[in-house]
Amino acid sequence: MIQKKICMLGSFAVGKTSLVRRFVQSMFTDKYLTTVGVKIDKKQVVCAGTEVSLLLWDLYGEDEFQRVQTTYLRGSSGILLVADGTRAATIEKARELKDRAHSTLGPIPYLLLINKCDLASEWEVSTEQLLQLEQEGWQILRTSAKSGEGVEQAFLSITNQMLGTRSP
Amino acid sequence: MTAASRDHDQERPAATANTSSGELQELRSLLIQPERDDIEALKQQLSYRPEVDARSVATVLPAAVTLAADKSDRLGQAMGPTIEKALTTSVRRNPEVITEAIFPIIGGAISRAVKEALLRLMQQTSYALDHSFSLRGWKWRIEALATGKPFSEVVLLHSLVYRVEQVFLIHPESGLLLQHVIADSLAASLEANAQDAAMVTSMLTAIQDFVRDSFRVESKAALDSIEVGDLTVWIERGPHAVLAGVIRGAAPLSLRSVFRTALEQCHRDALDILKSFSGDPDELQLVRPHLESCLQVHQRKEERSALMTWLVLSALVLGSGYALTRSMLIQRQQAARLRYAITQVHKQKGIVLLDASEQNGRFSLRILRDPDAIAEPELIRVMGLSQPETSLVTMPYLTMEPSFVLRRAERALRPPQGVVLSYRAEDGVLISNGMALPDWISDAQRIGTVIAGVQKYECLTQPILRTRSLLSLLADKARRVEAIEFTFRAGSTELLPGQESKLASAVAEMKELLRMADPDRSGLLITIEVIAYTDPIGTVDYNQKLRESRANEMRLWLSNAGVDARHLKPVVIGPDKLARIDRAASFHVVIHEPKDGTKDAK
Repeated sequence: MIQKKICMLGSFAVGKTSLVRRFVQSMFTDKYLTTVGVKIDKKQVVCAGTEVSLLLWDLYGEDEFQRVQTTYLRGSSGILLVADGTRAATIEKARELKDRAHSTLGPIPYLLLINKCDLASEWEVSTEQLLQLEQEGWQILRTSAKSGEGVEQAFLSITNQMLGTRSP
Repeated sequence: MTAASRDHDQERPAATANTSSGELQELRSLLIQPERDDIEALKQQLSYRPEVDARSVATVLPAAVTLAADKSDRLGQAMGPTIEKALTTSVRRNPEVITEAIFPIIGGAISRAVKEALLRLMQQTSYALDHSFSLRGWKWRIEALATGKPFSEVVLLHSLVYRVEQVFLIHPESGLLLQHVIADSLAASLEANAQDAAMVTSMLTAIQDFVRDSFRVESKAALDSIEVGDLTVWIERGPHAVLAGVIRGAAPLSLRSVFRTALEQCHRDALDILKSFSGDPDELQLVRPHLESCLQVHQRKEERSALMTWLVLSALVLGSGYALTRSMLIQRQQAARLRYAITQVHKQKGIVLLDASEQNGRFSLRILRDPDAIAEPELIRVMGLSQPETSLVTMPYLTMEPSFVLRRAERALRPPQGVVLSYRAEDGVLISNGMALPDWISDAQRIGTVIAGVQKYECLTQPILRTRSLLSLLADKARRVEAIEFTFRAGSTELLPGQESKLASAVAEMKELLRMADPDRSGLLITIEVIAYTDPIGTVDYNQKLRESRANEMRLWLSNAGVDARHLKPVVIGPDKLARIDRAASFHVVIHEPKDGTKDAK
């Protein structure tokens, strides 16, 4: 079975950990996030008939007090950038993290997940903002940690990008 | 050439032009013909001609393969899948070819594996023995019970200097698991968690990065070891892989060089794969032997008698051998008993064996049984089995065996005395012979054909003709016999004087009666009961015995005088049923209907 390392990046409290909690195999507690700054989970997917084991490095959310340790990014085959749809500023943080990751790792596949799509009434991210990102070549998926919407698709989509296969 | 010169050429006379053209052609062939030939040859090579291509490739292939193999492992990697496929196909088509090829090495490999397994068993037994009967041994035994671990494992843990339990080969940048090996003795307990190994290596890499970043050490410096309780993780770093060994106990520093050597061997054998690791650990199966060489165990050496170990091992082997031999003997014995039982069942008429088996000393048989066949308990005895060890399931069935058909017919028809039934098996005919009453004959004709196994009933039985006058004559004659009386002396079986003359007359009457009732014609049977009496003198017992003696004496006299003794029956009457009280003897005639009761002559 092929293994791939994926890093999950995003601002503090965008819901990275909650987003995957129900969908992955865990053996470490969330305590690691606050102590070591990273927690490893595993997710198995089948893409175009190939079984892939994704090692998800859930990195501690970046804020004004703490920066993502770029050493954790080394060896990643893909990046899941997570933003909070109810906080427009998290999109900009995602952009910044993507640039930093690419400068460390080179141009590797990435996917932007706009989380909390179940909170439509509190939505702050504008359609124009997203269109702009798409025009820049970003792939964007709306997700919800609460309902699970878009999560499985996100794993499949990033895996397809990493393997160079076409999305089903 | 310019346009002006072209015009000038066109104006030349035709003859001159022809001569010049021939010369030019010759000159051209002299100057460039070899090049033209080369161009033609190249054109031919470039045009698609498989036979030419194959020939060209065949010429350079051996040299090309050697060159490619010398330069790097890429040729091996490229050809690997093709060779695997070819091997699979070959094995499927004809396994013998590969079997013959590997035969010389496989025997050695098996014997080495067996030797290693025996040595390990010997070592474990030896340690278990050392501690089996000591106080410490009992403590460990309780620990084994409490933890659910085998006793030998608990002993091993306590006797352990160190043991390398797991070895991880890790991709240095991504933390992805390249390979993972587990000590044999722990394989069962740790393999369930083997799929978490990938997460463990990732976290281990993250922790190393964390430590390096936190303490701001130089980029090449790294965490060399982690200690947690009894466990130590030693980490050796190579340019393209990291080796992490999980050790229980206190390992000597020399173990580090073992790890380092293994890591170097991994790099040597799989450098290209490690350099551009695709994420598939299967590509690195070839390095497993190097990692397995790190799974070392060292235990405290204690003084113990190798002889004792060998003795116990020998005893174990002998005990197992004895148990095995005994079990085999019992199995053979039971199989022989089952065979004997089956043979005996086959010999029984009216029994069909459906199936028979033996398991753990229990015999199970299913049979079909005719109601007239041997009874189940008797059958079990005949089979040489006993009731407690036998489960016999019986289902009813009717056999067409001649003797069984005849017995069935006799039970259904109940032929009277004087009738004989027989059965002709070849055509299934039931035959009755002799004499019987007309009612029985008609019943037999009705029932005879519906008996299982009887195709046809043939009645050769003659009806008994019994007229009313015969019965009347017999009754008269019986009355005459019953009127005869004899008188005895007091207290004696001797007749009074003058009674002998009566004897001749009584004999004549009785013989006549029996002659008239000829059973062959009338179907009637005559019984003459001889009854003796006594006077009231004497005790009850004495008189009872006297009556018996007188009746027997009278029967003897009559039979000696010519009356068929089979028809004479002395009857002794008890004191409470005496019809008369004197010293007489009288007779009572009973006329029997054949089989269906008796008829009093009166």
